[in-house]
Amino acid sequence: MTHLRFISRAVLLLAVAAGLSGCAGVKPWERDLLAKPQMALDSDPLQTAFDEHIYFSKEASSGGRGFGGGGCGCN
Amino acid sequence: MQLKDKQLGTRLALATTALLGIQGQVQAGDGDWLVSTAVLSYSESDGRVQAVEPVLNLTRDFGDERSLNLRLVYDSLTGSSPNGAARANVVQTFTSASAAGRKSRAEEEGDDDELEEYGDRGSYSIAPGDLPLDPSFQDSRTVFSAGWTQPLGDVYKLNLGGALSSEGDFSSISINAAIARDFNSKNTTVSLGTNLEFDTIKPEGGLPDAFSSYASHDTSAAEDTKQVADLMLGVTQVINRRWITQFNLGLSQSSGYQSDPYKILSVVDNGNLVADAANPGDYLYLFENRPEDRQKVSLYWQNKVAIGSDDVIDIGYRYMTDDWGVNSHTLDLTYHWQAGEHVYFEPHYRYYEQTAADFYKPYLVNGEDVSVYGLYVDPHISEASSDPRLAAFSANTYGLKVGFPMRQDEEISVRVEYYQQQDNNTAPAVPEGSDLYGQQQFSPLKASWVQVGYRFRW
Repeated sequence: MTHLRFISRAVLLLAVAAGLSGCAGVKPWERDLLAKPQMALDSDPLQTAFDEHIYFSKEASSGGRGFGGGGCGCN
Repeated sequence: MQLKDKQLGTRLALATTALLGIQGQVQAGDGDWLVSTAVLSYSESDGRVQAVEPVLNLTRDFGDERSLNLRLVYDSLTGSSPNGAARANVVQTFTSASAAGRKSRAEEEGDDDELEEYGDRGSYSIAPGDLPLDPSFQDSRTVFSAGWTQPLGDVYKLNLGGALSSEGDFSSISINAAIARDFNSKNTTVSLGTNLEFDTIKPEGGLPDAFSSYASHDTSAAEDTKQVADLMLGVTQVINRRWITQFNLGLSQSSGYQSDPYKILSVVDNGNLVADAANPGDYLYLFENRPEDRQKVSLYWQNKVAIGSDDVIDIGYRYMTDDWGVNSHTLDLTYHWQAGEHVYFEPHYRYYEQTAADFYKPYLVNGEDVSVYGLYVDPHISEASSDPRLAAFSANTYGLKVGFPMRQDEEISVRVEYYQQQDNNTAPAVPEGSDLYGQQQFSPLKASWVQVGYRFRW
């Protein structure tokens, strides 16, 4: 039940985020900053993969950002 | 081959000149493949796990937004891992299942090298006050993954991928697919993805029966499986010229064998370790058992904000909750400081906290969790684990990365991270003078890692 409430709130939040697009309008020629490599959402995928694997091996949480893939026995 | 060697030499020369801050005349080639290489060296304090992990990633852009990604990871692990037994004021002796399995196999096959390495490691003792660590931990992991991206019609983008992973006692195969659609002149992207994973667990010495004795190591099967299905819904939104944000909602369902086949629990009576009637002189340790199903829900929110012309703030937050009783919060902050055209610094901070799983127990209490009648053990609970990963703790990570971009798609980087956990568990009270009196049952982990990376066009 808690999960259902959490999911419905999260979906609502996503819908609000999508709705924000109505008031945003960055034109292609205004994308100079967004196009820089350091502005990429995952600017170093190898680093992200290393860290996610380490935290997956030592903590009970994983994912969120994307799929890990590959699995791990991690004893 | 000569041409490749020449290209590599040119790149190394370029890398060296850039490191030395010299603007050389050397130019790297504009190849079709973007090659990302990195080596990670990971080290835990107190002689726990040490790992070395090289990675090779190849990406090729075929034009028209079609691209292929190939990745090979090798992981070499050595050191000691907590076996799950309680820290006590007395000497504890353990017969390691994995070392015993290795030893008996080496004896059968007449492998002298293996016997020399593991022959004397079938049994180990832990001094009073020390965390019980299994010293026979040694494994290697190889992962190969591939991904293909292409447009689908005018507005959709398709991503297909898969991964194969293999360890001595564990193998995994996974496939994934995601579809994304752009809206509002590419200011909004909505994506939906799924990942299916199939794991096989084949521990040294077989799969131990739940709550069976560690010394006896009763097994009813050699291997078991686990399946994981993930679903992820994401929205990426350009807010303005300087700000991009992303929300992800993730659902994960895993079912099958989720226990750690090497982890045990001490049995404690009034603060004292209970003796093993079947093995005179040993204490009683029972194999853990976890639920066969787990459902996780996560919400991830990331923001990238440009500061000035080249600096960037990266703020990420993740909330995760599951039906094992684990709730966690993760906050991640990175600042990209472009100190010059050919050098940048990235200080990094991460905060993490989690509640304990419902079945997390530092040890089993005789008469409450289990009842021990001589040789017979009667469990009153169906699940229990003392795995520190399922305990309540918080953790801080501090890091610094230095990058040397030489030209577009060519960069050398070095980073260092330091990780430290804090104990958030409430320790059950035990009588003064007993075996467990005054001993902390959760051992906060300290770890550090260094990553060196080089990216170039081939």
